[in-house]
Amino acid sequence: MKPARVLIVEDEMIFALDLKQGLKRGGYETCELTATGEKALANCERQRPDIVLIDINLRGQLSGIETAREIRERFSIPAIFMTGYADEKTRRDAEVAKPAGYFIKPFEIGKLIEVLDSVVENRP
Amino acid sequence: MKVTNKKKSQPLEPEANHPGRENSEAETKYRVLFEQSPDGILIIDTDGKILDFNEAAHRQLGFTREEFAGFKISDIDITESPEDTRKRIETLLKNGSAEFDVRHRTKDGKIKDVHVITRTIVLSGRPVFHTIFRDITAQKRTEQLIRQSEEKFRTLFESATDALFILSPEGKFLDVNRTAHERLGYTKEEMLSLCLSQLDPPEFAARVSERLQHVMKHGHAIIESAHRRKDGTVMPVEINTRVIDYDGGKAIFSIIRDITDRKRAEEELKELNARLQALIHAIPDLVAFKDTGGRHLVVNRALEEFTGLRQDELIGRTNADLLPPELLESCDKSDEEVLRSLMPVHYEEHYAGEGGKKRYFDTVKAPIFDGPDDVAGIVTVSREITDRKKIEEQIRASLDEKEILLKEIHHRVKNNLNVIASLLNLQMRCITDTRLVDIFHDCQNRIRSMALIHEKLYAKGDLLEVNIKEYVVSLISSLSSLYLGDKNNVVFRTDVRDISLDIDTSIPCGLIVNELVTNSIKHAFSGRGSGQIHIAFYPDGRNYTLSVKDDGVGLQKDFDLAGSETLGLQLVQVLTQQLGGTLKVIVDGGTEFRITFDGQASGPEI
Repeated sequence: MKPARVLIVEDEMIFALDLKQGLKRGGYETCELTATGEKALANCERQRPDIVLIDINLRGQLSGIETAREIRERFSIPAIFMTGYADEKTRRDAEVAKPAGYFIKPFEIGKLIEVLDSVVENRP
Repeated sequence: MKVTNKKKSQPLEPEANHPGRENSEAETKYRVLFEQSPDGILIIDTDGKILDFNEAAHRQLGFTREEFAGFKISDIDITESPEDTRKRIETLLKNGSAEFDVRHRTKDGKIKDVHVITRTIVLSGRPVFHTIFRDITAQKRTEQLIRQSEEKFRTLFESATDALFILSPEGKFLDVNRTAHERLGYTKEEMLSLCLSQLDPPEFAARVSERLQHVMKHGHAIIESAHRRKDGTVMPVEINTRVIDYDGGKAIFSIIRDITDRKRAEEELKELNARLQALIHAIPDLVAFKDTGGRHLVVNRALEEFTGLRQDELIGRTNADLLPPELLESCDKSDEEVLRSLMPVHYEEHYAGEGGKKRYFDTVKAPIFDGPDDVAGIVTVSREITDRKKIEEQIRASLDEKEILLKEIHHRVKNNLNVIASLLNLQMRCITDTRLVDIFHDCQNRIRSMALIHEKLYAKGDLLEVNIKEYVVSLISSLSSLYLGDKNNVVFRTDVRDISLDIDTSIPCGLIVNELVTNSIKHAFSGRGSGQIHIAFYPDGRNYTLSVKDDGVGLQKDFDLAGSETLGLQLVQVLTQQLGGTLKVIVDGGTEFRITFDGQASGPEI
């Protein structure tokens, strides 16, 4: 079976690279590293990933929540949020995009892979 | 009716002016006059024996005719002794007439004052005394009362502490009391030789005549004036005057009160009032005194400027007349509260001023008392604080901005630390030597334990302190996940109190927990299937104690902490030093590292 492809949307590129390598070790393919919401939408259009791993606080016009919501609506691609803000408000705001997971940085890559595996297994 | 004296065969008739017995008409006339006279009439012989008496004498003295028949004048006259009577008769015979007052005894024992007019006449050829007496008891009593009244008046007049004058309508002194002349430094005689105008200083003397006329016209007056003492000094006085009947004419009775003290007090009050007025007007706040009905009694310049009305336009006006609608309700309500509670109230209020710009006021109201329980009104002091409010808003906005910035800095520091951790991850993947990988992991965890402090700082609003309980729980969770994964052979127990520490204390504490817990996970349970790590943090007086204890294999008995070359334990020692604390290692069925440090120390003792 072809490994699932993950689009990493993260404006901190070293962290993104670390994630990319960790996911690769966990058996996942990754799309081109993306730093903004606008580019994420374009890459989804072009590369059609299976899952989007997206930071809530992105530079640019679109926030991670807005981007994930649009990706879900336009491409039906599930998103997993990553954030450095562990507050309740951010979590509540994120609910509008109906995320498949929510990780507070820093997190163990192993935990992320477990959630990814679950999402992939349950995808329609 | 013919009066007879039983001792005499014939009634006695006057002979002096009616010579000739045959003149019966004259006799009749005399008898009528004799009997009908309202005054008592006695005919007394030179021995003092009463020869005849009229009806009035009988009525006034109460004796019967029979009783009178044997009386001598000394039987009814209690004033004179028989010797006195004898002498008086001699004198009468010599002078022919006399007029005097004596006292008569009546039959029922009463004493009556009588005025006697007696004249020597000849009756039946011998001299007798035609004596007319009039009852003057009532008159005497009245005279006595008048005398007593006069004495009382004189006593009061002389002993009064106010000066008393009796003046003629022209202003001449008719009488003065002792206080009057002593206070002015004159003798009574000197005073009585003066006129009022000579006593008044020039500015008042000129009006004396006019004032006297006024008093005479209206009957009374209260006048403020001044009197000059004999030594030339002037004393302010209040004169209460009244026109009285005096010595058969009219006079002016005056009560003169020395009002020097009152005038001085009035002057002082006036001066004080002027100062208070100046003070009130100089206050830049809006100041008003209102009565209990809400009417303005006193306002200051600031209030005039605020309302655009002059003082005379403001006095008597109420809140409703002066205030904008937004202020009226709160102002009325606070007035009511002050009058109800009799306590000051303090509140802020605002309204939309010109151009809709909000103007803020800080207002204090307090009751004014006339007496202990007698509230006279309310004093209000309102300070415009619009500028202060603006500054406060700016400061608040600035603080909010700084808080956001500080949060952002902590967030950025945490992100950067996590980026470093990611860099170490990336580097680790290029290393195959597991010893080196372990070292990288240790470094990564140290960085993450620091990053967690910054996360806790910005996550909780405070930005200055970290809740050490929440922090330890998060750190243990992270270390457990990293080193133990899904294995649950090591049980963590925490007894960390709900304590907040500043960043300078929480970072060394976090790193110490990180090192000791990592150390226990890695080494304490070698060769054992499971174990327990207990982390405690609690206050002890002004100190804090941090303890990490495992029930593992324990350190060797001869373990030398100071000589340890393990980086982790070296870090624990230097960080303890940074906290200004002491480190104790207890090996007893496991290992316990116990660090105690001063929780209130201003800084680390390095």
